[in-house]
Amino acid sequence: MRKIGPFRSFLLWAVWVGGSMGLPAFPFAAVMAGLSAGAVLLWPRARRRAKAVALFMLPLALGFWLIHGGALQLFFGGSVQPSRAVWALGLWLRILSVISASQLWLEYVPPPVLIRSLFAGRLPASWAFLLASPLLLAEQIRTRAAQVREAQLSRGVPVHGTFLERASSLTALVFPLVLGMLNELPARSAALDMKGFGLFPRRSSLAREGETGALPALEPAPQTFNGKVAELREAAFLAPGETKPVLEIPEFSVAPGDTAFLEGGNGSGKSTLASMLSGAVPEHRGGSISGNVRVLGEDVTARTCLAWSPDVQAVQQNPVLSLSGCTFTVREEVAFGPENLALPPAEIRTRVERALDLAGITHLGDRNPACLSGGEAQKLALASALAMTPRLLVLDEAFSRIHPADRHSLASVLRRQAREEGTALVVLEKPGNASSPWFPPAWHFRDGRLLPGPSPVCSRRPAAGSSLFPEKKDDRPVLVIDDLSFRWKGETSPLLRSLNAVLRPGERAALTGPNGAGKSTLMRLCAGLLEPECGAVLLGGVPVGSMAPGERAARIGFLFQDAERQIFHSTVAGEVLFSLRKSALSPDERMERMRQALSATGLSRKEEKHPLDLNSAERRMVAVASLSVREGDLLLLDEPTRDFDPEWQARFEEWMLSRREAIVAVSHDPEFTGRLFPVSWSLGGGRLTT
Amino acid sequence: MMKNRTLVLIALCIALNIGLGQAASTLKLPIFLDSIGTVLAALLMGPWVGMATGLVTNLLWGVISGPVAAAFAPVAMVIGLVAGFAARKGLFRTLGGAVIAGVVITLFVTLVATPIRTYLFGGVTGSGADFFVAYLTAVGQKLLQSVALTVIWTNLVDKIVACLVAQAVVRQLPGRIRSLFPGAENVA
Repeated sequence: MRKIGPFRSFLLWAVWVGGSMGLPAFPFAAVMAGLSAGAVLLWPRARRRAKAVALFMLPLALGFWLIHGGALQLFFGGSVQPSRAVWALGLWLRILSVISASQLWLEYVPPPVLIRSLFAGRLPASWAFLLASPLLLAEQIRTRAAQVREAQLSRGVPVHGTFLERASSLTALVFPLVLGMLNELPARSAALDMKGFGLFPRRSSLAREGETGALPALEPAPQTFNGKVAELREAAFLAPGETKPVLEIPEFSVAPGDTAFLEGGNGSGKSTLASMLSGAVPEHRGGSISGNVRVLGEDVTARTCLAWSPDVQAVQQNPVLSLSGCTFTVREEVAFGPENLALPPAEIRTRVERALDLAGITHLGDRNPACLSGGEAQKLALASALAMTPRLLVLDEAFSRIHPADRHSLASVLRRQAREEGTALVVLEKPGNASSPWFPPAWHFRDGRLLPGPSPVCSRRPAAGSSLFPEKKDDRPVLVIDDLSFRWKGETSPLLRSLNAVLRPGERAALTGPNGAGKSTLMRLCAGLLEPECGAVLLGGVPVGSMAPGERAARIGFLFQDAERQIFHSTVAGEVLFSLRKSALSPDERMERMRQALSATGLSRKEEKHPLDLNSAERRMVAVASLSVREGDLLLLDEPTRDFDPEWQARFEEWMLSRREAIVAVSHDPEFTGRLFPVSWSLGGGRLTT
Repeated sequence: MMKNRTLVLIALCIALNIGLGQAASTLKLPIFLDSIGTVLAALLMGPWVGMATGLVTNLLWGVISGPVAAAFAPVAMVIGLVAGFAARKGLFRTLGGAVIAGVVITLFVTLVATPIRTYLFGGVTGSGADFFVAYLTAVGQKLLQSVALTVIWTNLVDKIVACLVAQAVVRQLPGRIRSLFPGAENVA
C-alpha cells in the first residue's frame, strides 16, 4: 500500500470531521464514531491514545447527562424532553468521532514528521517555525522552571503548603523564568538571523528531494575581495540614551586568512564588538554605532544582521540559544542555515558534511540537538556557522565549554581552514588563560577601549590564604554525611553508595570528580533539596531533610551553577534584600547589611541597577551578595568561579575567605581548589574519598 | 514577511503559555495561567502579534493534545487582540487599568467562547463547571446564558491575573530589552 503523506491524511481528517459534524447524527455520526473509536482501540500504535480519548469523553458524557439528561429538571420540578436527550447523545457521538479521528491523525503524523513536512511544504516557513520552535522552548522552560524552583526553595521560598503560600511563591517562580527568557530574546533572534532564516522568499529543503526548480540564484559574491575583511576606525558603540560610548575602537582590522585574538574581561565589550561586526546593532542590540565600521569594504549598518548572514557569522557563548528549534537531528540543524540560503541540495549536503567534519562531530550527526552536552552543543553551533561559509567568523567565547584538549585541535583546524579559504577569524576570550589555543593575544579591551597588545597582568593578587579561618573553639562538626546513599527514581544502580564525610566549622572542602559523578547531586542532598535513599546528612546534628525550608535557608547558603537564574527583582538592592525578608532586623540594619554585602562583592554603587543589565560576572555576584547578607553555618558553592575573569575571580576569592561558614565547593579548576581548599573530597564510581 | 525578532518573541510567548499552563495544572492552581504569554506578546508588539500568538498557541495545543484546543483558537486570538488594543488605549499604565483590561478581555472572551461551547459542545466541558450549567438550565435559564455565566465565572480571575503578571513583567524588564520593543512604552 502506498503511504499517504501528512497533507493528504490531513485532508482525509478534515473530510471526516466535516462528515461527523454535518451529516445527520443517526446513523452517520454514530457509525463514524464507532469506526474511528474502534480504530483507536484496534491499531496497536494508537492504543496508548485510547486513554486520552476516554479521559476526555467520559467526563463529557457525565456533563451531557447532567445538563441535557433531564434528571435535574425533574428534581427542580420541570419536564423532561426526550428529544433533547437524543440530540445530546448525537452530539456526544459526533464529538467522539472527531476526537478519535484526531488522535488517529496525530498518531499517524507525529510532531517531527509534521514539522519536517511543513518546512518542506509550500506554506511560508515562518508558520512552520512558529509550530516547531515553541516545542523546544517549552522543553527549555520546563528545565529552567525546575532550576528556578530549586534556587528559590533554597532561599526559603515555600513551594508546598496552603493555597495562599503557593500563590505568593508563584511570583518568585514565574518572574525569574519569564524575565530570564525575555532577557535572552535578542541573542535568540540574532542567532535565527545568522542562520539566514527568511532571507529568501523560498528556502530549499533536503526533505524535498528532486525538486531543484525555481530556486533563486545567490547573488555571486565578490570572491576576489582583497581588502581588509573588517576594518574599524575611530568607531564607538553608544547605548540607547547615553552620550558616553560603552566601547571605543580607535583602530582595528583583520585581513582575509588572518586570525585576530582579542582578550577582555567580563563586561569589557567583547559581545558588543561581536554585535557590531555581525550587523546586530541596532536590531538586536539597542544603541548606535558611530565612526567607521566596514565589513568587506561595506558600511556595516548598510545591511541588517539577516542580510549579513551569508558573509558574517558570529558564534555566541551559550550554544543553547543558537539552536533553531526546528530540527530533530544534528545534521538537520547544520543544514538549516544553508537551506535558508536556498542552495541546491547537493551543495547543502557537501557543506553539512564538511562542517560536521571540521567541528569534529560527524559521529553526533543523528543525535537530537537538544540533548547534547555543553561542549558538544558548542561544536554544533560552530558547525552551523561554518556551513554558512562566512568570510568573517566571530567566535565570542565560543569554546568555553569544550574540553581543553579539543580546543587546541579545533583552533588549528580553524586556522588552517581560514588560511585556505581566505576567511578572517575574530576570536574573543577572557584574559589570563595562557593555555588558550589562540595565545598570544594581539589585542585587549581595557576601560571601554580596544587596544593593541596583550592585556596587562591582573592588578589584583590572587588570594593566598591557604590557612584555615581562625577556628572556633567549639570543634563539633557542622556537616556530617553519614552513610549516605542515593538513587535516581527508575535507575537500577545507586549513584552514590554509603558516603561518609565530616566538615568542621570554618573548614573549606573542594568536591571534585568527573562529569556525571554526582557532585551536584551530593550538593543538593547536603542542602536538603533531595531525599537520600538511606543514611542522612546532618547539620549541627539535625537531619537537613527534616528542617523547615525557612530554617534550612537561614543556615545553608547555596550558590547554584546558574545562580543568575533566581533573579527577579528590578534592582540589585531589591534582589539582595529579598534574602532578609524574614529576618528580625530593623530596616536600617537591613540596609547596612545590604551595603556591606555589596561592597564585599564589588557591587557598590550598583544598588539601583537592573540585575539583568549587568554583565555575567556582576550578575553572579548579585547572587553571591544575596548569600552574603546572612550568616549561616554552611555554604555550598557549585562551580562558583566559572565565567569569572581574573579580576572578578580574585574578588570572589577575597569574599570567600572572609566568610566564617564552612564551605563545600564543586570546581573543575585544580589551581583554585589546590590553593584555597585544605580539605579535598573526591567523588568517583559512587564513592567519596576524603 | 515578519521579522525574525517578532517570530522568536511569538515562539517564546507560545512556549510560556504552554509551560505556565502545564505548571498551573500540576500545581493544582484554580486558574489556567495559559494566556500570560499572549497578553505579554500583545503588550510588547501590539494587538496583531498578540492575536497570532493566541492562534498558534491553540493550534499547537491541538497538535499536542487533540482538536479541542484548536476549536477554541478564536478565543485565544481575541485575548491577544483585546489586550493589544487595551494597551494602546493606555489601560496598562496603571494597576487599576490592568484589572479593567482583564475584565474587558473576559467580556470579549465570553462573547466568542459562549457560542463555541454551546453549539459545538452542547455547553458541556467535562469539568466541574458542568454542575453549574446543569443547575442554571434546570432552574429555567436558557443554555446560552448559563454557559455565558460560567465562562465569565471561570475566566475573570484568570484574565485579571494574566494582565497583572504581564504588566509587572514588562515593568521589570531591563532597559536593554525594553528599548527593543516600541510597545513597552504603553506600559508605564
